[in-house]
Amino acid sequence: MRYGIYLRERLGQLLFLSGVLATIEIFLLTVRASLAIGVYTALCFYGSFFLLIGLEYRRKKVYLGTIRASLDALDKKYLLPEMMGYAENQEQRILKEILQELEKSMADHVNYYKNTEQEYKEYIELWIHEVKTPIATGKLMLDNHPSHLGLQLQEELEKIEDYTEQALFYARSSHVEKDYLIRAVSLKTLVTQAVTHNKRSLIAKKVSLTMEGLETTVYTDEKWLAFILNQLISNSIKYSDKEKLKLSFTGVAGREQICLKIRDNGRGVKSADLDRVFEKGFTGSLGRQASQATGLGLYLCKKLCGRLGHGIQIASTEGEGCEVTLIFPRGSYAEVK
Amino acid sequence: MRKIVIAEDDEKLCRELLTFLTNNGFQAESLPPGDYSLKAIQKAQPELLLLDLGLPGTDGLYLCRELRKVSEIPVIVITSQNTQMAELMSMNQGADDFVTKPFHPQILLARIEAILKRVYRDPAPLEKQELGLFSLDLGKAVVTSQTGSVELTKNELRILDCLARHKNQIVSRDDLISHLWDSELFVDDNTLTVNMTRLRGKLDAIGVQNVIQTKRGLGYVLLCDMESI
Repeated sequence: MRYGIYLRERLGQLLFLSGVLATIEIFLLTVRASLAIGVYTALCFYGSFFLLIGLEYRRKKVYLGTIRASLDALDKKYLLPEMMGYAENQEQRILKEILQELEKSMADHVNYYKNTEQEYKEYIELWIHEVKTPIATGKLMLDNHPSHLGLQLQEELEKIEDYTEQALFYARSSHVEKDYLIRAVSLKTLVTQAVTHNKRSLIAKKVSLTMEGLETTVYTDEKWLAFILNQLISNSIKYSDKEKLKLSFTGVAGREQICLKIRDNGRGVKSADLDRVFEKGFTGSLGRQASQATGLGLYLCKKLCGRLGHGIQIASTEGEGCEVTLIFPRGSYAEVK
Repeated sequence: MRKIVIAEDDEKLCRELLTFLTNNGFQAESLPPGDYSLKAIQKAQPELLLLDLGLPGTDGLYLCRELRKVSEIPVIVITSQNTQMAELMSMNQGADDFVTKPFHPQILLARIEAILKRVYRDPAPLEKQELGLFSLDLGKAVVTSQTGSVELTKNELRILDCLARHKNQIVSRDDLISHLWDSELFVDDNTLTVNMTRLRGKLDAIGVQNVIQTKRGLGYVLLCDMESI
């Protein structure tokens, strides 16, 4: 708040006062009062005007200053009315009431959307759990009644299963609550399970697998990491165009972290696209050629990794392959002695 | 024959599970629909229970806990809730294993067999198999013929085991690889070829020739009948 501007806004009052003063001076002139009285009246007028304006200015400046300061200190700005303190006069009281009403109306609005989203999310999770039963039934049917279409149908069912799983984790990834459980898990078990899960498509791609340095444990949620590994493996399968897919899983144990490197010999990613592969909906120029790209896989991996406290990095040379590194920090606090 | 009882409210899935288990040599039975109670389970006298968590009118976890108070029979929980929390809860209530939908039928079967073997101490399946000109000892990984015997490596043993399970039938290369992968031997196409050559070499060395034949574009077949060799 600046005094100059404040004064300029009071220009009207000043002009009005000057007008009143002028009539008084004219009156004094007509009754032939002495000059001293005239000057004294003028001084009194202007003096008290500036004094009052000055005091008012100071009071307002202090009041608005405290509000500004508490607003700056607040993390959630909309909580300001709670911080405004006791209203000293009518003006402050009205201002506070207005802000409180604003806050309430906004909170209602936000809550409405929160509830809608929560309900929607619950529905999605319910739906996913429901749809898993018919998928399981379908798989069993194919197993019980072998037919010439069996293998192909099985593959399609597995695709449906993967997509439902993706939807489930998408719903979970934006959850506020913690619905995962960090435990010590053997890296070898994790990789083996993920590889076995994708057995059919990997063998069809004539894959050659190498695993190294996996004899270690990491702290993670088994199911979440299984999902992440599945996404990475299915990416490698999707974007392999060589005759033979080469896939390697390498564990590198460092002092502060354990890294899991997953390397393939597929199409790779253009260096210009590398920074953006973790963005939601980004499919890249290579992805668009392969119509299966959803732009969700790596985005979800990154998001889930973030929530589990893991790091994820990608390096690639176009045409030669791609290497994704998962980083599991191992603070000394994590070791239970 | 072991008796398995299924507590699952989805009729179709239940029916397919019954067929699947019956096909694989179990005596399978499902609980009457709507009557998922401790009494019904006890009446059926199962040797293993497949339990769905989301049952109408009751709760799988509750049923599991109540069952544990009176019985020690193995319980495998089948659920569509794929979270560690659900798994932990089930295990805490006394379940022996936890399988999430949609499960791979063969994996469910493997788990059932593993648990039955552990609980009822079934004698291990016939370890020594007669395969026409030679015999295979799975426990010792040794092949014996009239002229001698030879030891097999892990890969060779699995390949021969897989072929022996489908005697006189064609087994595709992919099926062989898949079988090896199930034992966590992640071989590729080339390795399979190399192992196959070595296996044939070893069999040749003990005088067993041409029992493994290549069917071009289809796979391999192990001939066990004397006449066909």
